[in-house]
Amino acid sequence: MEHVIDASADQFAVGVDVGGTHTDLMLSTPSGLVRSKSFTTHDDYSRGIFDSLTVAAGQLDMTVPEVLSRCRAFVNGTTIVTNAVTELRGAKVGVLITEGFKDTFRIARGARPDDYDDHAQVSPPDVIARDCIEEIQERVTSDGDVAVALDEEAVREAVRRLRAKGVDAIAVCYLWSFKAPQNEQRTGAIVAEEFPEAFVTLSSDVHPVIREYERFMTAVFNCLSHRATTRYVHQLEELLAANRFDGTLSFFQGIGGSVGSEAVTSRPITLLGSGPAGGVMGVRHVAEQLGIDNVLIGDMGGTSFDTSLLANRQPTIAKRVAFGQLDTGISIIDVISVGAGGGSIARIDSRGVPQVGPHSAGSEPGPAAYGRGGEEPTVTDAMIALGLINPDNYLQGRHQLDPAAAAAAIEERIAKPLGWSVEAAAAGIHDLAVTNMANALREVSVERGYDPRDFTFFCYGGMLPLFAAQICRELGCPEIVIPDNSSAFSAYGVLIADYVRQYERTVQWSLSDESQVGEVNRVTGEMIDTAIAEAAREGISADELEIERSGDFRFLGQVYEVNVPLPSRDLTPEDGAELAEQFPRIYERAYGEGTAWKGSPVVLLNMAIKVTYRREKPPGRGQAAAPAGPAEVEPLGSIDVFLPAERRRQSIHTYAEASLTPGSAVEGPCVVDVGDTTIYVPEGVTCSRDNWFNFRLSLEAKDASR
Amino acid sequence: MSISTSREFDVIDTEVHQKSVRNIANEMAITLMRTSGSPVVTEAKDFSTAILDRDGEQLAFSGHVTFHISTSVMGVEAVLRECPVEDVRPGDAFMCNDPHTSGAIHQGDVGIVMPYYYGDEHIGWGYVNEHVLDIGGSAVSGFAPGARDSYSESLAFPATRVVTGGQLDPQWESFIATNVRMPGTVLNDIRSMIAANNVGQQRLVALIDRIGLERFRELNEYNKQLSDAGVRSVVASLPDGAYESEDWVEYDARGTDDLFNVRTRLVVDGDELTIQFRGDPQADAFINGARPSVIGQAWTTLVAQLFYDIPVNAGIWRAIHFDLGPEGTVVNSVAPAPVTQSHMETGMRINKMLVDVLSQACALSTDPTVAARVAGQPAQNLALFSAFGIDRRSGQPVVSFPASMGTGVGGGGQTVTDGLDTYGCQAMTGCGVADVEIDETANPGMVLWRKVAPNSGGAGTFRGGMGIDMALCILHSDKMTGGAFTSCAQVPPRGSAGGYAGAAGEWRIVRESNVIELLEQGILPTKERLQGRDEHNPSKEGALVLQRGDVFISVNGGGGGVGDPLLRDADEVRADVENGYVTSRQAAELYGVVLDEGGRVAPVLTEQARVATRARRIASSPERSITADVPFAPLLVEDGVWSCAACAQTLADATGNWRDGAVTVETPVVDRYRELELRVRFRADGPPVVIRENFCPGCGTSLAVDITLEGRDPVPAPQLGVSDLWE
Repeated sequence: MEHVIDASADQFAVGVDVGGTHTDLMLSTPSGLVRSKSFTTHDDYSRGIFDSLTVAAGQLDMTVPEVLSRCRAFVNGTTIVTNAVTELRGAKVGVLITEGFKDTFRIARGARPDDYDDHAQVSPPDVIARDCIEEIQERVTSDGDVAVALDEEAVREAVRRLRAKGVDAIAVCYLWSFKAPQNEQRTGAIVAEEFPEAFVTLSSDVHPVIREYERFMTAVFNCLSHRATTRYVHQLEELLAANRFDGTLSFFQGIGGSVGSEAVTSRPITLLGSGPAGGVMGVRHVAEQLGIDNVLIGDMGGTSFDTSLLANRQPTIAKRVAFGQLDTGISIIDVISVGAGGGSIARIDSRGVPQVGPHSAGSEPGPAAYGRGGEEPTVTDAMIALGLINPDNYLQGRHQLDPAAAAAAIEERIAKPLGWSVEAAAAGIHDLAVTNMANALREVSVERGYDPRDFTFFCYGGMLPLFAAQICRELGCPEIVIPDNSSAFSAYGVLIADYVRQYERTVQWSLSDESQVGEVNRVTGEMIDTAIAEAAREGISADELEIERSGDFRFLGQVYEVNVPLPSRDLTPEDGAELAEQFPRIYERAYGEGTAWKGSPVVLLNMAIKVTYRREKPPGRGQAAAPAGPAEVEPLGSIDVFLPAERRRQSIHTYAEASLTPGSAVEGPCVVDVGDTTIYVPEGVTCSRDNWFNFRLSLEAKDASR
Repeated sequence: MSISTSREFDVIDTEVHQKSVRNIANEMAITLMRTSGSPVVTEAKDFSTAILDRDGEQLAFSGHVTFHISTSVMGVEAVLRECPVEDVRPGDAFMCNDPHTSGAIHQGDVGIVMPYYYGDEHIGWGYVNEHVLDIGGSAVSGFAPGARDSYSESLAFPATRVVTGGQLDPQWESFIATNVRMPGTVLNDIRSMIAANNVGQQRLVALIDRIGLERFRELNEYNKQLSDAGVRSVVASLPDGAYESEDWVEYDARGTDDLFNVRTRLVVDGDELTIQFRGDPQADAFINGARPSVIGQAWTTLVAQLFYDIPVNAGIWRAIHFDLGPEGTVVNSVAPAPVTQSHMETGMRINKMLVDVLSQACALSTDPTVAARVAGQPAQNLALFSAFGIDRRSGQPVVSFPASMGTGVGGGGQTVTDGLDTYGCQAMTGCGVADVEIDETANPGMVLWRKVAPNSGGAGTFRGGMGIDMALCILHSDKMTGGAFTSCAQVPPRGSAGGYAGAAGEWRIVRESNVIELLEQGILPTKERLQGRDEHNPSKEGALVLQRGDVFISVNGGGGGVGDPLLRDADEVRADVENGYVTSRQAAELYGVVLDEGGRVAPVLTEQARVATRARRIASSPERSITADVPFAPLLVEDGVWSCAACAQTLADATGNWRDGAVTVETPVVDRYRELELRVRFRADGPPVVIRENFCPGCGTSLAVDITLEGRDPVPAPQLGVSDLWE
């Protein structure tokens, strides 16, 4: 690709996604996008980032300082906080908790997994060493009254003990603190006097919402992830400063959008779920370009299949996300992950039924075809046995595969016990992998009241383009988009991030009680003031901010809430009356006719605001000129495959990516080799290239069943 | 495996179908959880959903309460009995909550059965069941510890058509509203169940639209065959033979310490199981088991311990045979026996006994997967109250049923892990302990503390999980009335494979406490600062009165351990002591672990203490050396004799009881538990409950720790190859 560089202006921008294995980078220049990839360096992430920068700069015949000095923005997606939380590795955390409730973390809200199997009933791990949990005399009651004042001397003594134990972060966790934060705030001040170096998180600050276990865990996870986050930010700042970067550095959050260094070092927990959210936001941008409103998203990796949904291009938000048995109050872009990746293992269960996943061979030993000692057949092995993966050109030839080992594993573990051929067994594994992925997509769509037939499936990552058409047939989803740059898609999403922050407070307004509306407005005003002040610290002025208000409503006595958008102004008692009247209809839209609670008062439980500052979007690869007419596409050659749905062997064409120019199309059955991924186009499906260089698969309008 | 060989059979299609139908049941569960208002549903997850075919055979089961595996079948049976199928119309739904007539576990667990249609054709049934906050009568929230007959307990619906045209019938709505406490909440919960059933109907139609009715039916039958095959393959790996256990249902509310004996005999014959239950004559108290709860709780243990990965449908019933013996006993009661605690009293004894007999059978299996399923009994006590009064904060009536207090019982030790702390009862998968802030919103009181109870988990190579210790002070109500109970206070949960029994559960009340006074002075009421009048209550109370300032304290039991505690990793014991989960006295006495002044394991002293413990157990120096490391299968039956698997000491003839050759030390359980710092309630009249520790005379290994009554013969040892049934 030709790049014409205008050296005069800061017109570059960088998006980086630091994943568990790879550090993906997307560099935007006035003449297009440059992508690069390197291995993630876990001892110092900035090295891997520098490696990616070097590769990208090299493609432009520039040096890293030359590139960075032209960058106005450097946006990071990073897995470090997700890693800290899922691996429970990080800072040594101490907790100050209301006396009598030290065991809150051990009880973990009764962490019984939803599994019949008694062997799965294992107590959750200790996130905090038990001797680092200190009880403090203080108490706020359910009506928000500070019934017992803080025992300040006890706090001082406890902090000294925690300091002596080598704690470097302290979470302050008091009951009902979201209603009356005074005791937590005073505790924070005392910690600052006694132990100024400590990183402190107040539960009422990080998540001022009812349900103490989630609030406390949010504070604890914030503490746990602060050390790695702070180190990461500093290393990166050093790297960028040393390479003449003077633009805006920001970090991509799990809720979508990015914020600056100061915000993430005080609130590292917002980086949770950063990577998958990047992909979702990237899809949103492409959908906008293509004018597609409703999108189902799939991303298939080695161990898992991640899925999400955009309705009217709005991502759904998962509230109160859990990690294993540990619940938090954190909201992130809803990405459902199931154990259905390329490395997912196929086996036969006690009923004699083949199963695929959730166990995975990972990358070590990996699929049998990797030849690293894996003996169990995986999804990858099945696709090799079907002939859909070319063993000589896997990952563009970087990894030679052993098809005989793949066939032998399938033969031994699946085909022989069932009395099937290897091909039939491989097709069966294919079908079950498709079912698992389709079920995950149903979970984000059908189970939330969306009909997949109204959605376009965007897919990226690894082998997903091999399965996409079949998955869509199961769901009745008519069209598939495989985006250009799909292999570094999260970095792309990160690159185009807006500034986004969320704030939430429990207000418990019983809508019929007019006297409470003033308090609700006061709390909302406080949140907005905080939002404006925090944005100002990043150089964003109040008039550049979009502020959206919403509320979590429920009938009095219910435990789950329905989120409803609210007008951008103070609420009035009349609003209360109107919302109370409308809510049953909104509720029945979600849960069906006749489900609204008759005669129950409506409560606004939590007030939330979301602020967005729309950052300028870097140009992409650009739109191709409209083609003169449908181009003839010459096949690269033919391969012999066992078609999984048709259950028959056939010779089909293969096409090279470059031969599919915008406007051209090929008919299935065939495969398109895109270098780092392969698209399988089954019979009856058309694969075309649009003007944005995305691949589009159109399914015939036919019955959704196989 | 006896799978049909029809050309239409495709195992992949069949599995895809299984997941589709199961997904529909899951979706019904999600709808119920999202729309229900009750913390009993959303936090304790006390509900389930199921889909059945038109013959009433299960197709899929979801939700969280495994004893509803039986009620879903029996509820639909009741509908078919009450109403000829040709009289059933689309939009109908039937209410089933009577253990004696409509397949319910207890009256508080209300099942709503809805016929499903494809076009005009009746294709099956939806079933949703949840514990509603109240169902009237003397049973506040469905528990009537004082009732003498089922008429005085609560409303009972014998498969009654309360919904027509998709709407709750106004007459029935008015009837229910007039008869239950908290009518608004209860009616909304019933509407939530209708909504969940509706979702099932819609999704089923969409599925059949895709695959066709004929294929739908065909695939259902294949899935039943597959589940049947799965059950049979597991059963076939249990050794053929007969296995026995017994237990006692406790009732002390009327001045006597009654213990009702219940017994089970499990017969493994090839790939089929017969499970027999027998018991004392039925009682005039709410402890009686009825057919739905006895069979339902049997399924609870079967799916938790053996069939955890087999999809629940009609196929799982085919190789399992239940025999409840003659009518009129506590395991097979008939009207008007009171049954509001059917599931938690006799029902939870069924769980304990089945864990015991299945563990005996698994320990003798040569299949490593099945052999690993030996486990300690879960605590199964649920110490809590349900009461009714006015909440001063709102001025409104309130039913207080703080499930978090009761569901925090410990799980049984497993061969792969310690039992789960605050596990909930075995039937309630996914069961949670509500947040203090939720409890203090829903109940007119203040939680003073919530802890895990030290030493509550039974000792073992893997110990039992710990129970919860929680106190709730009534602050916002002048007077609440109702009942209180715990079902496992005197006969604690047993361990397995030489593991020790766990603590029992209890509740107590501190009257006229100083809580209000302390709060007025700005002092936090804690366990240490709490004062008041300690009241000696029975463990079942049908006329509970809680007044402002009274503190209800619930200390739940822990699960039984698995394997000899002397084989537990000494460092795990150290960690438990350091964390305050096990006292140093118990660490020394049961685990033989010695810690130095710095709290570290003293390896040499520990080794010596463990040898000394073996000698103390058998009152002489062990003569045989341990040659095998078999913590979860301490007994062997080979060459016609029972022997110790660790040292090969012969114990008894294979047809006899190995206990005849063991060193047995019997102690009243209250005395032994006092030494071991474990909680159990004293039995004031009748033969005392005793603990019998059975050791190998050769090496001092703990072979089994029995809990029984003084003077009672031990239960028979497994009788391999015997397939005789009880009369």
